[in-house]
Amino acid sequence: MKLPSFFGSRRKRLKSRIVSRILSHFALIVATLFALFPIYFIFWTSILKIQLAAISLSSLIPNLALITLYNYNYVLSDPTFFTIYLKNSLIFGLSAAGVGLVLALFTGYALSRFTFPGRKPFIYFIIALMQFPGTMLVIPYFFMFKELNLINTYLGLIIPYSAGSIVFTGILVKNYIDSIPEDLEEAALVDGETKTGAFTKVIIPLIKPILGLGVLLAFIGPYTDFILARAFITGNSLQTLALRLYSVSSISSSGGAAIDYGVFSAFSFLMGIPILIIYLIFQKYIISGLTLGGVKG
Amino acid sequence: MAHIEEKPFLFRLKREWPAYLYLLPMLVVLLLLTIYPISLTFYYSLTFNGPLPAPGIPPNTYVGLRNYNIIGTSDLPLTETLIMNSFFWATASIVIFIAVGLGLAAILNQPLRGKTVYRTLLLFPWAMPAFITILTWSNMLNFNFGIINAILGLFSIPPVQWTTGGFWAVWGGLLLMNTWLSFPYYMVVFLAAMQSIPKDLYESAEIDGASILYRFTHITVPYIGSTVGFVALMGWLFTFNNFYPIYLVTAGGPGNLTSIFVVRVFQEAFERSHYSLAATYTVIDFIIMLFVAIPAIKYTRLSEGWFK
Amino acid sequence: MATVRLEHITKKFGETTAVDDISLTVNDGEFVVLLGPSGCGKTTTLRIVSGLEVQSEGHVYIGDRVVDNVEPKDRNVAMVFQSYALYPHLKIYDNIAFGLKARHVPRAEIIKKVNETAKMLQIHQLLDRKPAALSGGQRQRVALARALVRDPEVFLLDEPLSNLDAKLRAATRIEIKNLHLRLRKTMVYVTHDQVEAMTLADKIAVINQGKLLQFASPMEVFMKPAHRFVGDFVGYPSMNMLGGELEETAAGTFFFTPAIRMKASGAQAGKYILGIRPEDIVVSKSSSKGSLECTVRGLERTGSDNYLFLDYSEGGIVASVTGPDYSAGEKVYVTFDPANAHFFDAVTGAAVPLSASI
Ligand SMILES: Nc1ncnc2c1ncn2[C@@H]1O[C@H](COP(=O)(O)OP(=O)(O)O)[C@@H](O)[C@H]1O
Ligand SMILES: [Mg+2]
Repeated sequence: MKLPSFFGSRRKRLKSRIVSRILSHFALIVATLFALFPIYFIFWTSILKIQLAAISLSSLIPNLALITLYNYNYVLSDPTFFTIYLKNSLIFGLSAAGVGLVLALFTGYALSRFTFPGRKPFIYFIIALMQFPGTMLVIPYFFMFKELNLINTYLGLIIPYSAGSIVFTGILVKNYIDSIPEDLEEAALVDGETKTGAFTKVIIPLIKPILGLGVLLAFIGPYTDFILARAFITGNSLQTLALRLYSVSSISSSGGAAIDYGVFSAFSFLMGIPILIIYLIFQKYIISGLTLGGVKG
Repeated sequence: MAHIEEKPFLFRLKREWPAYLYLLPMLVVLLLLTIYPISLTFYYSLTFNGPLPAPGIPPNTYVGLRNYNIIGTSDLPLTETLIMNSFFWATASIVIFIAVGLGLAAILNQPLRGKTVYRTLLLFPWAMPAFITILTWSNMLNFNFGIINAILGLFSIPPVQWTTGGFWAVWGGLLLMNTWLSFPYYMVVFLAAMQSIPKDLYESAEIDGASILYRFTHITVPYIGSTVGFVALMGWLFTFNNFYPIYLVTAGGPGNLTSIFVVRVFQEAFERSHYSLAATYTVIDFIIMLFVAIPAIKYTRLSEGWFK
Repeated sequence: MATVRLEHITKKFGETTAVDDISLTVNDGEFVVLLGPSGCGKTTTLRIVSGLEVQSEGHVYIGDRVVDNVEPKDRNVAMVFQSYALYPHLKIYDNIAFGLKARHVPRAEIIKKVNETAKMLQIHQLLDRKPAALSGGQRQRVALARALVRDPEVFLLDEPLSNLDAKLRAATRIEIKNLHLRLRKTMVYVTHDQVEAMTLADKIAVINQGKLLQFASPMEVFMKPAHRFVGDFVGYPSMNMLGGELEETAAGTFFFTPAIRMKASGAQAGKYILGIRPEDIVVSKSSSKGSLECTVRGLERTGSDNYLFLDYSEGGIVASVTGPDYSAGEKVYVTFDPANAHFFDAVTGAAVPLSASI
């Protein structure tokens, strides 16, 4: 009786396939709920009327009757949100991204295309230096910049912010240029371009996507930095979004005043969502870039 | 026929000099903003610069290895605690990241309806700036009105003291949060690696009657092993000195339960103004990192991509 | 005057010598093919002419000019890369115009030249596309157009047909030949395909392991290979090579292989290799005087030609035959006219002027 048993095993296989599919969806749904909950939580509490102490599980379920824009109104009606916090964060983020990008571009190109003597030890050396915890550079920076009277100045923050991303984005750019055939530059050289011409007319247009990513990554560091800002910024006029968010969150967790938590959520949402959207749009490049470049936490 | 009297070396230099020009900005940055400050840190660790009046020692004087002696011999065995905590934090995090990342990647690597939707949704934690989401988690883990204890209450589980309790409660909360922060990255990287495995390998193995487990251990693991190893190493090094998750949630507490090097350094320097002690801890941390990173990079093939 | 002259060119990459003391002259308007197996240094030689690579020793002349220290952009050469190297971010029009723009040719002239060249190569309807939207054959034409439009003194082509399928390759080969006949420009063309070399070249430079083995017209390369390697490499199937010895005996000078014996003269006694082309071998089903008994191993049919693979007591022989009526295991008898035999030194591989008779 070969035939029936053959069909039997086939049915069994089909059954085990269905079971494994159901289990897969179950695991993915659990993971997705876990992944989305905190973000949903930020969003929902930012428009929720109820005070934090009174939040119950039932109030987490979307309900039009519970919605208010009070928290956003509160955050945005304070002009310092724009004139100080947002302005400063953008100044730091954009200038660091701009300077860091140019530096990373040159570095990545040189590391990828030129076989200067000592290239390999040089890369080892860079890797060794990268092991020095970046966070802890704050201490020597603090004294160096104090000496130069750069504490609590724009320049004093822009310099370390710009430098902070150069190694990482440099390696990112290097890896990407590695994937561009050298033929293209050589064709340009034979066609009558100088090396610089080949770089600006062939390489730069081709690495635009990774440059976009480099800008983004170089922007986010300063945009969300707390450590350097906390150590270097002493006055009111240089305060950033990150510092403000930290103080908002400290008020809420120590005092427990619910309205502060709503404000915290609205603030977080305003500060974080643009980044989230850009990240999701660029995810393809970011992932492939990060696979070789290193790790974002 | 005119021979141009120019040495090949000069010609080469004429042709290749832009290389050094291109590298110049990075060299300047490395020198002024990395090498010099690192040397300064070593120097600070050999000087006295702290808030406590030390008998007979004016500030900024060279004191040799005094700081190292202090942290090595003080009654409070803080250095060992920092080392153990940092190792535990990095290792436990990475083990969980790899397990969760590999598991989800394996699930997503099969033909499944709605795969891309899942993938995009699972990326959200990674796409939100960590500074913001850590502060949110800090609130969610609050003992009195945190939403996590509220959810536990739903299952009649008594509230957990996430930031003030014992070993398992506090580390558990931190690791849960850290997993949330990082698993998407590991998942996508592993998924990308798995997708680069030629399909026909699996097909021929399936025809040969190899079980799922056999296929995993004999095809998947050898193929993505080096990616997993590299990512694990980089992740470990990163987590060892990952400042925000611990500083913003427990600040190293309760007591020194979750105190790791970076957090302690920041506190010594900017909350207690004890800069030379902070520098000393930094140097010890750096040496540990080099001891782990350099052999791992040199004696494995993990970093090939950097030298192509 | 656009001759290209290489004078004792050597190129070392660390330990490897990619080009080993090559000297040759390409006359104005000549089509020279550098032929050799993969890795023999053809591309490196071409890149030295273009200036993309700098030789370790020797001099390169283009026209009367020593160009050793001249940048690629100032050598007035155009190069077609094996990969085509089309700029992926530029439209076909801009790809072709790239070199003219780099040389600041007036806009109106660029438009005119690009259109003319595109028409000539029948790619004018593709000018608005990006390279990614083109087929392999179309890309190849764009690469040619990019070189042609500049009207350089010298054209350098690195295996331009190797990425095309067989049919397209044959068609494009003819077009390239016609282009050359029309333009009469100096061209240096690299290939590992001896058919391309035979059909295109005015002169072939056969290179192996960085050394120039023969530089002569296709016919001469085929008829009078100057080196054992040339005989082996040019022609399909390869020349049969039989090792043997020249000995002086009481009855005269004879060339012996374990299976063959023939009269020979013109060189000192010693070890030599006899080369005989498959098409010079006569296969018969009956034995005759001096014929070599062989067993049929197999028959390869290409449609027009048939190649018979034979085994004899000491090795294998390939013969070109007309009839297909051979079956494996069958015994056949092989002869050849000694006048068609080539002789090479067993040690150096160089051709030796031995002449043989029965
Ligand atoms: N940039 C280089 N660095 C080191 N070795 C090279 C380089 N370019 C070519 N070679 C070596 O030189 C030899 C000749 O290469 P090539 O000229 O590309 O050969 P062909 O074009 O005939 O196939 C090869 O052994 C190759 O490995
Ligand atoms: Mg080649």
